[in-house]
Amino acid sequence: MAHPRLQNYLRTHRRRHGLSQTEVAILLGAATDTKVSRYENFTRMPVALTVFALETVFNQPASELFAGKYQAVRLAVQERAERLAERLSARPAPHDKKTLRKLALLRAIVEPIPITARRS
Amino acid sequence: MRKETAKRVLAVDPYSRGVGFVVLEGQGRLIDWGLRSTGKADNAKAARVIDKLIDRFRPDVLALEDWDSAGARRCKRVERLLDRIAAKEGPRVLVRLITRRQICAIGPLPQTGTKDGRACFLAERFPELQPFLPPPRKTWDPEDDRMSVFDALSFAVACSETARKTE
Repeated sequence: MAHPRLQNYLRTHRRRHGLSQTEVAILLGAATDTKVSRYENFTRMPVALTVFALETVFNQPASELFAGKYQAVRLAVQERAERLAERLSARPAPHDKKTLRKLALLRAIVEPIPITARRS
Repeated sequence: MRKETAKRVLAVDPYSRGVGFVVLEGQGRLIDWGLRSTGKADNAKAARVIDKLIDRFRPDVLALEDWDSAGARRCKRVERLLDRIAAKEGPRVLVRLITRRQICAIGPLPQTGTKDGRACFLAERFPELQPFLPPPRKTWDPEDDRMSVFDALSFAVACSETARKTE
């Protein structure tokens, strides 16, 4: 199992670029730095639009900025995909084209191809 | 007790008015660093600060200076604090005590033999810490508090490198 990452790495990236919380708040269009502080202290999760803004600010994918959350969500989706695959396989006719396509997708979700293998 | 393979290392170095800390993840990725002030030399407050840091970062390894090793020069108060932390945090996080010899081995020896030299070496390796680098200390000056961050970083780097060598 992958090592549990921190919920987010906003503080790491902000400090790496020498930005203050107030400056990040200005870039996000927030009135004060309170939100930024709460995101960094894991007490609040930003909405999707703010996540896009953070991606733009730090030039990092959301899956890296919010690595811990991403890991948790991915694990949950993989579990659901596994259950859905079992349900589809248990159908009376699981070998029609449409079901096979769905099963291929679900298998890819459960066992994702490593990025290094995808590149080669 | 957590398993041996170090993934996230929290290193702390108490100083006269607080605690310097550094968090390294994986192959030496610097996650966070800083000073947490306790106002005065207060072991109870310092222990609470370290407790909070462990709660926030959930490290696999807590790296502390081996206060008993040859060449270690810490005052009795800090020795008591380190002893207390090692005993208290032992059950929930793997505690690694880093000796002076391990600290000096993090880089080329003439440079890493002194605190200032080590700090410069580490600031080159971790450029994000360049603004944190204190000026070289004059013999009549007290030590800059920021040096505590570089000391903590040297514990973390030594801890990661020792773990890598043993794997």
